Amino acid sequence: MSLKFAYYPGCASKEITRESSDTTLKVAPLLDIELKEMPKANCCGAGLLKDYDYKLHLAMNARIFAEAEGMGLDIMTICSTCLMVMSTANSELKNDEKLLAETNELLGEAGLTYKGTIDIKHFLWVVMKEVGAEKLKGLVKRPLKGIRLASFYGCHTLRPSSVLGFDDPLNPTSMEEITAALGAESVDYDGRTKCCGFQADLVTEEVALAMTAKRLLSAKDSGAHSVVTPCPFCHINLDSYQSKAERVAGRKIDIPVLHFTQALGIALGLSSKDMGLDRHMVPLQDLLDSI
Amino acid sequence: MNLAVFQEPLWDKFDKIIPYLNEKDKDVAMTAEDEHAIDASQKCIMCGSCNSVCNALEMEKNYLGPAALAKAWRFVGDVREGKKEKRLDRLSQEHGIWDCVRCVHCTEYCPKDVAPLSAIERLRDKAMAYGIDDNHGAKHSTAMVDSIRRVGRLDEAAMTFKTLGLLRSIGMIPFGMKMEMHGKMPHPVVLPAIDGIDEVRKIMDKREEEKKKEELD
Repeated sequence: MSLKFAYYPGCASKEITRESSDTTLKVAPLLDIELKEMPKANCCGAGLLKDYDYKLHLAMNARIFAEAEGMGLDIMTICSTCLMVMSTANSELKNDEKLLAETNELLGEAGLTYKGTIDIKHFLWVVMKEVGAEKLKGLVKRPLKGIRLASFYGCHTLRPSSVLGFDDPLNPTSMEEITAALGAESVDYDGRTKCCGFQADLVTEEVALAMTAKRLLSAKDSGAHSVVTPCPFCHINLDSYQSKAERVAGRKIDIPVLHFTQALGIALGLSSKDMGLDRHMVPLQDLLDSI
Repeated sequence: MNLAVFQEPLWDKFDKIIPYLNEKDKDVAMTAEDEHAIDASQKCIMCGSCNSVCNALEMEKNYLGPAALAKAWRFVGDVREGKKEKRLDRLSQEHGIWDCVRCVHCTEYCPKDVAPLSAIERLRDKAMAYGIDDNHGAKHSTAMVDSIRRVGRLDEAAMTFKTLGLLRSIGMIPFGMKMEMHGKMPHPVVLPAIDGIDEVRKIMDKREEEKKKEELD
C-alpha cells in the first residue's frame, strides 16, 4: 500500500537548499510514497518565532497542522528544524486542552480550527520505519560501494527525544543503517550528534563557523569521503559556509556534503541533474567518480 | 573514568545572574499559575550536566550557559521580582541569552526536567517584550516575524539585511556572489507570498492586540 503525506519541505528547501526537495520529489515515488503539496503552509518560525512570542508560535504552527488535517494526512518534512519546532508545538497542543483552545481562538480569526489529530514525521523516519532497510536494499541500482560516509544527524533530528523519540539521542543508528543499505561504509566521529552552528550564523558568526569547522574536521580526520545530513540548515553551514569555516579553522577542509535525500537518489539511480548536485559549493565530482 | 562535572565555572556563572530575589516594594501574592511559570527552573539541583553538554559553551567559555540562564528565568519569571527589566537588559548583553545555539542538549540531558532551553526562549520573549532589542539576536527574531507577516515564509535576504544592518550586509556581497554562482543566493527581490497570507496576517494582528493588553510587571 502506498504511503501518503502532506509534504512540508520547509522554507530552506524551497530556496537555498531546493536541491534537497527536488531530489525528494523524485525519490519518493520510487519508494511508493505519495507527497501532496501544502500550498497554504506558512513558515514554522524555526524557533525564532517562539523566542518572539510563544502563543504566536503555537498559532502559526497550528495553522500548518490545520491544513494537513483538512487534507486528512500526516505531515512529512525533510527539514530537521521544522520537525523539531512543529513536533514540540504539536505535542504541547495535543497535551494541553487550554492551550489548544487559546490557540484555536487565534486561528478562529482566520476561520480555521485545529483538532489535534495529525502527526509530523521526517523523511528519514519514513524511510527507516515505513519503507525499511530491507526493501530499500532491493531498490538500489548504484550501490555506494567503497564510499565512507560521516552521518551528521543535526540537533533537531534527535532532540528533544521526549517528543521526537525516533532514534537514540546519545547513540543514534538510523542514518548508518540506511546508508549501509545503500552500500556505503559509515565512520564514527566526535561531531556526529553535535550542532553545526546554523542558528548562530547571523548572531555570533565566529562561534557558528568555529563549530562548523570543528564538526567537519572531525568527520574529515576520521577518514570520511563525504558528510551526509538529513537537515537542510546543517547543509547550509557544512557545505555553503565551508569556505568560511576554513578561514576560521586556518586549514583546508574540502569535504563534500550530501543531503540524505541525495544519498538515496544516487543509490536509486537518479542523475546528477535530477538531484541538483551542481548547486553544491563543495564539488562532488570526485566522490561521484569513485562510486 | 571520572564523570564529575567541573563545578567552579558553574558557580561563577550563577553569581553573574544575581541568584536571589529583589522583592518589589509592595507585597505580591503568588498564585498557583504564577508559580507554575517558574516551576521547572526551581527544580534545578545545580549538577551542571546542561553546561557540560552545551555546544555554545563548548565554543565560547564566556557564555552564561543554560544552568545560570534557567536560574535567571526563575527570578525574571517570578511575579515578586522587582528588577526584571534591569536583569533582562544585563542578560541581553554579550554572552547572555542570545549566545544559545538551540542545540537542545541542555533540555535533553537535564536529570530534573528543568528544560533550560525553554527558560532561555522565555527570557528572549520577555526581553523583546520590554523593548530590549538592540542586538543581533532580537533583530534576527523580529526579522523572522516581519518575514512571516509579509510573505508567510522565510525571506533569507531580507532577514540578513535586517539582522546585520546595511554595512555588514554590504560586506557579505562577495560571498553572496559566490553563492549565486551555485544558484544559492537568497533572492534579493520580493518573494511571492504564500496562498492565504491574509489568514496569517489576521492571526498575527489578533495576537498583537492580545499582547497589548498583557501587562509587563
